[in-house]
Amino acid sequence: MKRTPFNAFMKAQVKRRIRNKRFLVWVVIMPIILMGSLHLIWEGQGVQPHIVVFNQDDSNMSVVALGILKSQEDLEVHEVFSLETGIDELRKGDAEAFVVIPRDFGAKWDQIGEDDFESIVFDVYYTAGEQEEKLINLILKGVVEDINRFVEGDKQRPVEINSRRLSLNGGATSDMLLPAGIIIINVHIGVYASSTDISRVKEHNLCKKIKVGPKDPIHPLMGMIIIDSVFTTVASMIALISGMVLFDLSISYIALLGSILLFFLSSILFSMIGHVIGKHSDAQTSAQSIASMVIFPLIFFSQAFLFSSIFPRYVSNIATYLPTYPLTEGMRQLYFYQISILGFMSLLFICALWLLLFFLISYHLENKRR
Amino acid sequence: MDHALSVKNVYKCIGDFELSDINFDIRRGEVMLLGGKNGSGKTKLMETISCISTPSKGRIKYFDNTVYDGKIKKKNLKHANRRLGILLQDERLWDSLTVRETFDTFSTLYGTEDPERYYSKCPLIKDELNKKVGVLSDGKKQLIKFLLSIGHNPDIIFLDEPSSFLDDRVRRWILNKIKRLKSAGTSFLISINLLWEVGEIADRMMIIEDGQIKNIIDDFHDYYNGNLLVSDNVLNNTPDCLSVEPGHNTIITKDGLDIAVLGIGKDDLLEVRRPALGDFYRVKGRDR
Repeated sequence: MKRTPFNAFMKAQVKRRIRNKRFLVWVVIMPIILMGSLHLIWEGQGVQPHIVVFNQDDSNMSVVALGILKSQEDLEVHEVFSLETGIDELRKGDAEAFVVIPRDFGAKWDQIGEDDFESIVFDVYYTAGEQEEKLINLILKGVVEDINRFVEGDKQRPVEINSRRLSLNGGATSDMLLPAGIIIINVHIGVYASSTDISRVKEHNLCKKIKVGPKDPIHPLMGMIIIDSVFTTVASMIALISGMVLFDLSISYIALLGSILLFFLSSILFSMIGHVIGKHSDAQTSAQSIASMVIFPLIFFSQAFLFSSIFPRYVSNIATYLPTYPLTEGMRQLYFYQISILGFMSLLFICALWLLLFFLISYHLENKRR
Repeated sequence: MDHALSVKNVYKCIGDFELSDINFDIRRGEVMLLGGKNGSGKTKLMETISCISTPSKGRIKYFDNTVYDGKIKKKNLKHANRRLGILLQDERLWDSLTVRETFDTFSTLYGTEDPERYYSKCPLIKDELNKKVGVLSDGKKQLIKFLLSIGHNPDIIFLDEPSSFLDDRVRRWILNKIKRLKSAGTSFLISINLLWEVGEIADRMMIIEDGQIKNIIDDFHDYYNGNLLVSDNVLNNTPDCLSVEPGHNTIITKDGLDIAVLGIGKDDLLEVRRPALGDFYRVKGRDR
């Protein structure tokens, strides 16, 4: 191998990283721990939601409704006997939702005619967000449909239901958790490792030593960045493999190769971002705080944890232009949906554009003299 | 005059601190000491003239190549950097690399094909090559940094307090190395906080105070070796002197011996001792 600053610093960086036990633990163990923790959330989704019910009605129909509600496989239903107790359980977080069967439930059912009927209204209290609301409504519609099956003749109430039962343990959750875990690893190790290392180099006056030599200072620093990116890619692959095992996910070899490319490009990008942070920081401690401030929004708005639809439109539009977007979207497309070569290439292109931008900033900073 | 470095009217403002009106030159094969109290601007001066930080104005020339003249001349600077060696203050090497790996890595910054030449002639480091830098003493680390600054055979070398942490043996080895390089035509700018043996081979001393050059002592060698310029006031109060030539030169004591080393103590009484760095601060500057 030719002796150039790029090669020499790359080699030195490999040795420095391998000899640093804490870094190795970070790269190898953290992805496994993180994916394991996310898997707990995924497993938790399989647990039946706990719903408390208060039956205000004393009609037969309400008893039937309560019985059907209790027989739902996806729900763990527990009856309470006052409005206050139900709300209290909800407030303490002991239940996901509190359903009130209204006082006139049976009477309204009886009044239903062929042409004119009044809707059955359940009062549902819940503390969770929009998705929980949809879920509970869906289940209650299912309950009403079951009651329709129970009653006969013209007392049947027509109910329109898109999907009667919601599979809570389906792909939708791992779709979110797996990319989320990987993006935490990729962004965190990429930005954090690089920014702290560069700030340390700066603090130890080695940046000046590199700068005062006749070679372009970007060469040795790029050597260090490339090696950090390789380690970040390895950590991301460990996270992916752990995720595949834990979430019972199988992906094709093509998707695996695509992942390596995507992870590596993103790792260089995040290491470059780390480099810019490191160059701007006076000391390692300030680099760490700035890195944390950058990492949090990058991950939060990456759409990895929350779908863009949950944000106001302007926020989700901004999220699409973040450096984390190609990685999140690329992973979703590779593992869960069909992706075209063109679509994947366009994501890599966006990533490469970001990379170019940060390379130019890094280059400028390296050659800038105070 | 054949100059290795020529600095004219250089200014540099760093925060509240300002280097102002810096004018000096270093001849080929000359050792110039840079003295000054803590915070006087020695390190900032070195960083500015090596263009690690860009001067605000002025002109800097290395070997007749202008590297700064209102703006950095990149091509010339690159050429000058090849001929410049520098040991920075508070420079810290990577602890996890071995000494040999450190030389292998940092020698590439100067395109050196053979990193062994950085350390092959230094017996003090021979047994440490496979040890990690982190386990070495501060003195040994300083020696490695010194070797890194001279290994590519530069023509001019800036050493920022090179004697820190050094024991007598290492200091003596470094001194001999500087002596040999000087005789081979290498120029040095060496900043000091204490006047160590490097005074033996120094030609001139520059005193800096509050970012300004207070004095450049051209006949430093005479001062250091006892031919101290003596004021009339001192002479009148020194009855033990047998003969003195006022203004300069040797003072001869009653016992007929030359006083090889002198300094001026309290109440203008002569003291028989080697001059300390602080003595030079009191040397009256001349109009330059």
